[in-house]
Amino acid sequence: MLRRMRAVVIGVVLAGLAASPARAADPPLALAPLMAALAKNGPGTVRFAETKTSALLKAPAESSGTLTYAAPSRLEKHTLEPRDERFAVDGDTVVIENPARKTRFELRLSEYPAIRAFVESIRGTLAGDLPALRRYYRVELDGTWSDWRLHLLPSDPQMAELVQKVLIGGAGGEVRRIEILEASGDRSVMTITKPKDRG
Amino acid sequence: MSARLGALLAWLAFVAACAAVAAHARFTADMSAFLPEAATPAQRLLVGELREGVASRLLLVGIEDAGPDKLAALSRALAKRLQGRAEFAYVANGDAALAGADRDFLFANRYVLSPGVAPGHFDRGSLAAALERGYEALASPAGALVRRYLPADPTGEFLRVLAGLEGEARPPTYLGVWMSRDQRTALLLVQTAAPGFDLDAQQANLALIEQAFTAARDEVGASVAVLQRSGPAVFAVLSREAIRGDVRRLSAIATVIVAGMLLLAFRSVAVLGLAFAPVATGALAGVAAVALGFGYVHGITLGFGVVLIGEAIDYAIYFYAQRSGDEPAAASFARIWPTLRLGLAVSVASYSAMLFAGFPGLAQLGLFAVVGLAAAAAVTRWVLPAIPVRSPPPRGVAAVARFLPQWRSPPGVRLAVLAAVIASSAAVLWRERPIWDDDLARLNPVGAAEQALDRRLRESLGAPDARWLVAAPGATEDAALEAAEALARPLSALVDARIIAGFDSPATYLPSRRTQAARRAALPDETALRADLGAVVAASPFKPDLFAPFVRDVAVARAAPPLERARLAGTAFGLKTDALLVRRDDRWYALLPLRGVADGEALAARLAALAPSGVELLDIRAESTRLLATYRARAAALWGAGLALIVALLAFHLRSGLRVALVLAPIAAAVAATAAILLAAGTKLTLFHLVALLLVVGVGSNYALFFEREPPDGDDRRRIVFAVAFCAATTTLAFGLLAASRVPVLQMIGGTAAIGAVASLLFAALIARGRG
Repeated sequence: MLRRMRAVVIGVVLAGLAASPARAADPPLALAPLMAALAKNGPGTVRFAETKTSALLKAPAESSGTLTYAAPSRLEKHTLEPRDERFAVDGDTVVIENPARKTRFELRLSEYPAIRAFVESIRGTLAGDLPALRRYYRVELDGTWSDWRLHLLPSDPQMAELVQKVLIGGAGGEVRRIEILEASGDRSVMTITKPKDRG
Repeated sequence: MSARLGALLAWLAFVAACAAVAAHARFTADMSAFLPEAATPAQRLLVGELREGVASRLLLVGIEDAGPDKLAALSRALAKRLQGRAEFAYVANGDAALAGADRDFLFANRYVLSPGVAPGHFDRGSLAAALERGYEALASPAGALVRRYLPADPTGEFLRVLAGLEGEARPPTYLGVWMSRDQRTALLLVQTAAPGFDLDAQQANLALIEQAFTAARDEVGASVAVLQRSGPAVFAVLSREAIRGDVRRLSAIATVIVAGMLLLAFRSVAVLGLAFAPVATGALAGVAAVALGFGYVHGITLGFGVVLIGEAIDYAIYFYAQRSGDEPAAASFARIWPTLRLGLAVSVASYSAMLFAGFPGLAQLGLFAVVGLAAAAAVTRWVLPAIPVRSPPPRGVAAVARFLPQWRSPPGVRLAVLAAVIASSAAVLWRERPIWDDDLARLNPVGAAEQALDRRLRESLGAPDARWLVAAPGATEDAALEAAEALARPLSALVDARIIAGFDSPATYLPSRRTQAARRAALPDETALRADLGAVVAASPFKPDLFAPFVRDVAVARAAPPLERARLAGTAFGLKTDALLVRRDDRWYALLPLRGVADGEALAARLAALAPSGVELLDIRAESTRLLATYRARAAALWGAGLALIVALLAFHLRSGLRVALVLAPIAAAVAATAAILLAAGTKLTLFHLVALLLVVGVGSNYALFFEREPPDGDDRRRIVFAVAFCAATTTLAFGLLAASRVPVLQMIGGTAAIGAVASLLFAALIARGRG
């Protein structure tokens, strides 16, 4: 709990920095400059905390871990709490590993629209690759430079059958929040913070 | 006068009768007439698959040259137009609505399909573990997918069934339809109702797809997009078109050239017309004979048959070329008829080999050639002399006589030439071993571009190249499925040992009755399941009553009748089962394709040790090669028998060992030299070369016989030399043109015959020239 609070505090501080006068000279918020700013993010690792709310569950499921991205196509979601699970994407290959169960699955992203909806939204956003995003989503943007929201609406019918919308929020060139609204009404909200040693 | 009139009337009556028969003949394009008879059960299975297997009915369709969005729209529009037509058993483009049928099938039958269903699988401990896994999966990136099935399938049987299919590559999708990785090709898979060898039906199917595509293009507004099609049926139809087109085009050119040569030499339109009378009559007689003998005429018989009896045009040339001035026809014929008759007998002997080739395609070709040549010779003998034609002596006789001078090689030179040719040919044959090319793919009549397209579409679609198959036989369909299930354990052991990467089995989609019954028996009754599940859910993060669909589905599955093959129709699994569960000769076979075979020998050894008896491992490539080799060996043996018959014929007529040798030596030298030239040029010999060499024997024997009987001197001699040279020139030209075809089969036959005609003339002139 303490850690989460600290994450929130850091987030607020970062948001404050983003909103500082230095940004005043920025061009008005638009997709092209936002993507250019996002594209400046190099490879790196951030921490995430995720809350999954589902009509199937008595209470929301909480989890946390790290998210690692390396341009152009590698993405790893490493869940540490409540259990160790690694979800790694490289190109079209997805590897899901669970050390506790000693299981390892490998599958092709293109065959799993639900997973792809998640992967391509994050990968495309972190890379600032608008054409890649538009290949899978209708892209809409609102907010301000210090608090923007990218609405990604799946255009692939198989994807749309499962995922209604991916909503990505951020400030400047940083992604702060990834929210996935499923067609079923379930949703997962992932908040992102820089790791302590870098923050 | 009355005898001539009689001959003419008899000819007209014969032509009319043949025309009447030919007009009512049934022409087919069933390519299976050209598939050899199979000797072993494995080969029968293979030939059956080639003839009518699902692979032969599969069309691979690609749409290209438009943006990915347009391609996806085109794919949908095309699939919509093709679905539900009686001509197509199955149309797939990855579309969710279609894939939905597959998914629904797997989901509805998950409790008989899942290998996980076993006693104890639904007890309290197992259910608790299943719910824990479900909870974890729900929170994972795959949550949205898991959520959909969790309430009805908490133990994950559906996903287990899906995982069993996982090894197969499926194409990626874009906007819900199959699309190549580079997003340049939208992909569809079509299974036709007609078997692959029914070329007329397949041609109509291709036209239907073309029409549907044009309509789809108009609907979507993507006017530049192009349609690509591939598959065995497309190959067969394309090659038939290519052969037809080339034969028509090249034989038209050849006819013009030969006609020009005839006009130039004989300066008579009447001679020109009459020169074609024997060959035309022969073709008509050939068609009539095949129609009467077989009940139908194969399109290929007609095409190649006319090529084979092209020799008949020589008959008329021999007649007109050696006629001197106003000499009565009977007198001219007295000179050439014995030779012509013997030449005809030799050709008939060599072509009759094909009559016994063992399958209708070549037998028809043999009958056509034998009857056609005989009729052509008869027309030359009795009809041509009955039509009085005034023509000046042929031009060029003197020139040809000068070109082939008086020179007669002394016996020593002849022997030396013969020895040199035989020795060098033998050296080439020895060095170039193996001289035969039994790779079925090399005989593929379609061009490299079409084969490259096929490979590209196949790779994009993830269609396996199905080289290795395990065949599990059974007396009934169910017995074959049980045999396939019995192979699951040994094959899994081979996967663990990394000898194979994986395997597919019809029992995955259609378990045997016994397995289905065992799985059903492992399902708990409703009361027990309710009690166990209630306790487990109460202790879980899931809401109570969430799993009511699960309880209901288990109860339904327990009471359901066995899953029948008919239920698979209209799904991808129906297509697979049609391919992998087949009936041949009153036996059923379950076919299990193997993936990623690293070491064929190790596989064969391990499988022999592990698998029950009766199970056969088929290496499709090796098996088809073996089949072709058997077939070629048989053709070669028949060829040898034909040769023996020729020797006997010559011995009977010539009654002199020396004369037989003088006639045979140039033929043998020409055949050996032709084979050696082909091999030295980097060609391996195939069945088609063998057929063309028969033709070389046919024309070459005429040259040798005429030279061997060369009259002492004067005009007669010059005219004979001219006639032979003229015939060789027309044959070389006509077949040389065929060698320019794009179709490998025509290239092979044309090139071989053209080289052979030149070699025959050369060696006949060098060796056979007679007693002087």
